[in-house]
Amino acid sequence: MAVILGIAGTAKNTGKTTTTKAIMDQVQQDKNRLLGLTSIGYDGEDMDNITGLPKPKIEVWPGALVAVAERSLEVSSAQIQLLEKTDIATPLGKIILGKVIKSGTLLIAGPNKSKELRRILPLLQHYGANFIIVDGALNRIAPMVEVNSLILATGAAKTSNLTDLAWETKHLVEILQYPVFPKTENMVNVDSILDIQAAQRLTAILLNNQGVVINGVISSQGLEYLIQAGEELKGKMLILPDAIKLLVCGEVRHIYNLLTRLKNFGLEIGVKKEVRVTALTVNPYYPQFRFSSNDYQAAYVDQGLLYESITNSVNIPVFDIVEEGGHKLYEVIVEKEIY
Amino acid sequence: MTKKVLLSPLDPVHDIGLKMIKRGLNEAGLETKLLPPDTPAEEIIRICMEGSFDTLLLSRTLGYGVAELLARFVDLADAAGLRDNVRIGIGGMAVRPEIAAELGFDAGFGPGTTVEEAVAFVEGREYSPQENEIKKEKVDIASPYTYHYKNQKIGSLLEKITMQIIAWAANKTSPGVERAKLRENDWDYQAFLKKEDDSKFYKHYAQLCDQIPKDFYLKGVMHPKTRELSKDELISLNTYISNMQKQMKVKKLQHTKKLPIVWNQYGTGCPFMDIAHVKASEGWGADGVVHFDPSWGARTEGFLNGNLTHQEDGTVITPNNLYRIHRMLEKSTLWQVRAHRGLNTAETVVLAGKIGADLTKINICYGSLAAGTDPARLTIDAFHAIKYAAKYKMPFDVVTNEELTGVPAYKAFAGMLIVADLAVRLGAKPILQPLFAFSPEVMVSGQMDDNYIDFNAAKIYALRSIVDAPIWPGAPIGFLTQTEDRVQSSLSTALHALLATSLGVDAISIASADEAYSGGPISIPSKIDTLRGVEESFRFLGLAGIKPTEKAQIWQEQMVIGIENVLSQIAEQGDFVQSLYDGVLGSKEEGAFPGRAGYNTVREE
Repeated sequence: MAVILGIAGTAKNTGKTTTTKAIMDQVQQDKNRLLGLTSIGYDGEDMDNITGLPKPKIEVWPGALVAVAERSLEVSSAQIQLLEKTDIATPLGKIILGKVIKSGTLLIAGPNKSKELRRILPLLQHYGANFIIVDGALNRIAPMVEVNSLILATGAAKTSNLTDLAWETKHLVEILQYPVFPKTENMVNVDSILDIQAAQRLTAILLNNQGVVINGVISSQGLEYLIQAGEELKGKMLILPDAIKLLVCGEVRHIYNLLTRLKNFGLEIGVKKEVRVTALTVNPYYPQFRFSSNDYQAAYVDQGLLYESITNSVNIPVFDIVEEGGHKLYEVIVEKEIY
Repeated sequence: MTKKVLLSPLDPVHDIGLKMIKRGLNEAGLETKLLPPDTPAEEIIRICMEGSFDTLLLSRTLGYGVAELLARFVDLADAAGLRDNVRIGIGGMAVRPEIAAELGFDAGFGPGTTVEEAVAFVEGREYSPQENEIKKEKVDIASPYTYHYKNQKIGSLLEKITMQIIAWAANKTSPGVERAKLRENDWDYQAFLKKEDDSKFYKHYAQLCDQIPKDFYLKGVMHPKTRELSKDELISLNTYISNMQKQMKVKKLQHTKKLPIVWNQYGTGCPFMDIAHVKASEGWGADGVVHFDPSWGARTEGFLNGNLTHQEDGTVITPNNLYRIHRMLEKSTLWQVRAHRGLNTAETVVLAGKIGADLTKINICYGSLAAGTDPARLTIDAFHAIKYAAKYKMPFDVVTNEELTGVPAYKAFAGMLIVADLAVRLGAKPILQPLFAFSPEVMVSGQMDDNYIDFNAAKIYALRSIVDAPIWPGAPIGFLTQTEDRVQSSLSTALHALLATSLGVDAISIASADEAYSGGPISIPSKIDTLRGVEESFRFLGLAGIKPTEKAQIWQEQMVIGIENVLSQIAEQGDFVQSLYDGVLGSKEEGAFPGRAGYNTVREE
């Protein structure tokens, strides 16, 4: 079975591209692996669209497979042989599957939603890719439910306050590790909880049944409403499709606090499908806004302190890619692979 | 089934863009619902899902932290399952396809998004920004015209004069005519492109040239103000061209009316700067570009050869230089190579025709009365130039710049009409080029004391009352009204463009805002100044018009009488060339002096 690795960032400039490049280097050296590369955003540009600071460029080699939007090829120096044109439309044209025939830089803009990524991943495998990297976009994470191994890139770009960053990262990983409850046959299924009326209905159903499966998301407002039921939630089960559905509803810290209060009342919160966070990468870099000149400059927090504070907050491996390269990270990814 | 579209401004206040799109979508028969500004994300997603909408259009001005906010919205929509059936587009200032892709939208609509674009997206037709790029095609301004005379008296006078010119020219030639013939018969553009040996051609050619080109061909001596580009320079020049072409997007200046088309000049002498100038003109909406060559080019018998850069204003005419410029032009850009005033007039037309120019520029009276070329010489050279222009199907304008020395408009027009009539008889398509200028004539006589409108309008009315022919005021419009103040210059150009569009002319030439006072090559920002100004003037006027006072009518009638009198005199005398020497078409008192370049070079065959 192929590795399908997603690389998501907690914010812009947390080192997604650096992590992607480091893992790509390792895949290139691994004779048993054929790379499949795609992205849920737009990556590989010379300069950051917002800060105007330089960015690392992605380079691909002959044989590698890619799934990218047509127009991203126009600004890439790599030569790509067209294997298949899909009908998946993006702002930069239809997604094509291609094989690299000449090395060079590649701008990867790919399928940007879950539904489309779900179609593209088997296609990459069909053409032989057995190590697929799904490059992330900004702070987006929703389509990453489709991958079977997730690397989270975080760092000073999220916040340069290391205490805050450590707490946030800890909570993020904890939510992603909520337990899997595979047996949901006897539970009531409901749609996304997006307003008070839906939250009221959810509470009523939950209090009259053993558990509820939400086939979608629950807004933070919905969670707040549920809290009002207090001790009555004890022993009940609230199941979501996956942990990412919990993360997209608001700031991590806020969501975590709401979920913790619910759990403290005895509500069991779990997911149907695991999103496996394999490792974290940390990046001391952040773009610092200069009011004097109205632009950004590169800045760094203390690398050692950053690494230590994150390592102490989570139960998964942490890497500083710039400092140590991608070798050990790659070992962890391959080792944890499920066959 | 009718598509349902939900529109929601994420901005706290602004929803004008979406309101405009909503109007367009409704007109296209689509069902729409617009949410109030600042509706929470969860609410938008819920309404969209419950209402079974097919498309969600959001708008948001990008700013600090907004990208993250939009990405969060997209994530929530994805996780809620909205994106399984609903496509989401984002519009707003600073939105580009790349940003839309990064944020996870199905489409991104930046400033200038058309309603058609939004409708195409909603209807699920392929979203391709190229489709919405401005489609521009070359406009042939001469083809709608018949060249029939409405003023029969002037028509028959012109016939008499031009038949005399044709008879006069029948057995005459000049070194310029001979070079043109050689270039026409013995120089092959395809062979040039294949870099085939042309030494035999140039050995023969050198014999027909002045000392400077002769020394260049026979002894390898460079013209003192030029040098050949180095290999490295040529390589980086080619890289520059292909890089520029990749990112080029053309633009249209016209608003409701399709005319006038707008011309801009280039000719910095420097091949690199020429590219920047041409691309800036195209990028900011010029429909055509005019090649300006150095003034010494008109006074030197023969052309040079090679990839030449010129240390002064004016881009040297050589096959290589013209080829390079032609290659970098966008497909929709009209290209004019001027041939009009000197000793290389006929050969310029041949070269321009072979290399692919769309238009050229030929005249007799201005070149021989105010630009230094001998009248007989320019008459015979222009005669052949016109025949080549007909052969290569290049329309050409006939300038009346002798007005700038003080020749009154009616005399300049008489000269222009003679050349135009000759051209029609020789199978070519002439374009009349009256000046829109604060000319010495009006400075002295006061026709522009009150306004710049009446006298310029009178010129157009007069020409239209005489003949059905294309009119292209120039060159540039507003000549001598502009100053060293860029704002004043741009405004003056824009106002003259306003008058031109109101009068319904076919084309205009505009100067850059610093052209009159640049003291060297013009600058790109000032080129953009006037292009933007003219665009705004077209937008401002639309199909409305400017109303001249009754003076325009009076001056029109006077002009026509003046033209008739001049033509009668020439027809009576029966010798057009002699009438140029005699000052009938512009006298010494009026600042017109028959030129000396090429004097005594016309011989009988």
